[in-house]
Amino acid sequence: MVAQSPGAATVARVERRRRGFTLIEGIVATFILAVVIVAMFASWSACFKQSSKITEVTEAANIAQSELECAKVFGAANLPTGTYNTTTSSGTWTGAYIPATGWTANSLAYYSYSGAQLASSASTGVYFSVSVTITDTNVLQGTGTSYTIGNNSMRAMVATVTNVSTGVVDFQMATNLFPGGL
Amino acid sequence: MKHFILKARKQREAGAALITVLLVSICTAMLLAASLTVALTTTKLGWKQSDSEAAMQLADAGINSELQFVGLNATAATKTGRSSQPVVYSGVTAVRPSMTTPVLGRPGTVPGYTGGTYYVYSSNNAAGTVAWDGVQSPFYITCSAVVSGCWQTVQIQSQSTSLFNVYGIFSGGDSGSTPTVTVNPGSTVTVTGPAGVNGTVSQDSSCTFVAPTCINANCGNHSSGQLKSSNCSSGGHLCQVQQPLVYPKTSDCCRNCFGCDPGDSDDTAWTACQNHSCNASGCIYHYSSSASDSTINTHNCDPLPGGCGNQLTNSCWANANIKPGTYTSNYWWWWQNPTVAVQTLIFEPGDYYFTSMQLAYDASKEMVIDPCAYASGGTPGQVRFWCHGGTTDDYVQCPITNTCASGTSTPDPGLFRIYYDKDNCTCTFQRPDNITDWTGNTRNDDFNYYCGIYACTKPCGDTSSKCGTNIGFTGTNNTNGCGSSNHGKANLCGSMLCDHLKFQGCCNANYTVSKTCTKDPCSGGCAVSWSCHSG
Repeated sequence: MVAQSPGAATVARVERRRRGFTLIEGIVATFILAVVIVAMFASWSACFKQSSKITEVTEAANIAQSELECAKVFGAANLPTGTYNTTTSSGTWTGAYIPATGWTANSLAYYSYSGAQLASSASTGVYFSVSVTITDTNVLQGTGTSYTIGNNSMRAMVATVTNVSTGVVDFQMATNLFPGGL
Repeated sequence: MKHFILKARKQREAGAALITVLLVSICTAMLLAASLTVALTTTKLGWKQSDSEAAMQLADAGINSELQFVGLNATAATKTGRSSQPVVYSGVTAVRPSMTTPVLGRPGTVPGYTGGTYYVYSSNNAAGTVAWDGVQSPFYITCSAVVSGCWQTVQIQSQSTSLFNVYGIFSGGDSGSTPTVTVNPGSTVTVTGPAGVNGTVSQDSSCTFVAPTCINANCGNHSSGQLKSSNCSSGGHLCQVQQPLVYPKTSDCCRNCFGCDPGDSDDTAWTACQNHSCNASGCIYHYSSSASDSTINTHNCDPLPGGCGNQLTNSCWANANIKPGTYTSNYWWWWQNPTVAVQTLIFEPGDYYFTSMQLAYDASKEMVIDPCAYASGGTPGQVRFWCHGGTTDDYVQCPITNTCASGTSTPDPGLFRIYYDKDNCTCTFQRPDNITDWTGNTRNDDFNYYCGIYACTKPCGDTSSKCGTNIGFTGTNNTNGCGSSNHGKANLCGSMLCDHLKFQGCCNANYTVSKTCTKDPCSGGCAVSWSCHSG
């Protein structure tokens, strides 16, 4: 057995403590780093989600706006009429503008994520569906449930854009269309 | 020595990993904060942009709503009732950013949409400090809309349109079971524009009455007896509306035109009209005695001395000079009377007040409506006849010639208006049978009336003791066909709104929308600015 001098023993204890401290330090550092990394990924994930959502909503708003503007180009008097409700003395039409068939009752129009209009729900890349509801008041009643738009009828139009996969309404936009006159 | 150097180095290295990690963490946190801020800002901007677009559409909706409001309230009892006012409406607390008071205007929403609200008002000026007086044209409509805190404001300048520009003919009276539109035997009536009734229709089976669009209004009161699908021309359609279409009365037009308030009596309005009448104030012209030819211009025409009184009859032509070129010979001896010669009266732009219009056909009498003011060289404008006050029936059996603006050959009906206010009286526009022109030749032509006729004294729903006006159009009998020799139609080339309407013989109503004049006094504007009370 080799006897150790008192000085050497102290150095050894210090070295041991220093080794222990480095280990604790490493564990703490790793823990902090892990927390930071987790927080970072969580935040980035939230950011990406937000960014994705706002892109979706912005596109949905654009689509809704384009539907309303499309209706304006057609003119209030040229848009389709739906069913007359004798109780409310108003008419309602629901459908969408589909390039191949025009304003089509009880149908939806479909769009991709980038806002391109698609032929049908079976098209590749379908992301949004659009439904338009027109509520007509002050109309000229025709026969039965049909009616005619008069110069003083008001055509309230609401475009609703829905995420096809989730079924959640992304955006709604509304306006009034007025033929004009007495 | 080596031991102490090692110790010192290890002491310096102590905590380095922790410090490094902390530094990395701080940097990462800063990056995270920055990217999060950017992401949140982008998100917020995205939402704002989308909501702003929605607010813009909603503001547009409010503008349309106000246009409808103005249209529906054209007959409101007060001028302020004709539009939404630039005031804070009851219950409105919304305040625009940077403003201290609630937003002005009538609040409203779009049915089926709960995302926002619009506030709309009409004003005389763009700043919105003066409410629209219900008369000035153009006027301004301003609408602010808010969607999820995003505000948008839209302002438009609105030009009123004429009531004459909506329907070809409309019979606005309702006399219960008594027809308001009568198509007598021997009639062939073709309307090229929308035709509508508030009352019932009597049509003989031997005659035709067709229009591309037939509107049965007030069918809540009349389940039958109105226009039928057989009255619709090929491809046309028949519409029904429960409520009657109520037009202003002729006296309302008079009130508007001469600057009266809605509360002023009919008598006040008609007195103002009479005071502003230019029957005798140099508005009626004739050919001057030195006229070189029949061209209507300032060299060939002079004011008719004394003008015409309040009765428009053939005697008004008594003082008119001869139209150049209308003698059968250029000279005559004392035993040869100039048996055929045409006298012409030329009506310059302005308002003419008559208590009667009784013009029997006379080939030697010619009537020219001169909205272009060629005779006087004055300012072109509308020629308006106001007929009020008498109790006798009226008739216009002469053709009326209208001057046309340079470069056009068809008269503009918007530049000649006849306002008829004689309740329970009839005014007939007639193309008589078997007539000759001033040379003695048989006339085979039609009589075309390029004008708008307004004759409403008892609108639907009026419970007064009034009976309404009657307007008649009488062409030659269709027995031999409307286009045969010695026959002619009475054609309205314009539009007509009256209480009761009667057709006899061959008649047409060629609905023509005026392209130049939209300032009729019944549509919120007037071509002139009179003062009702200044006399």
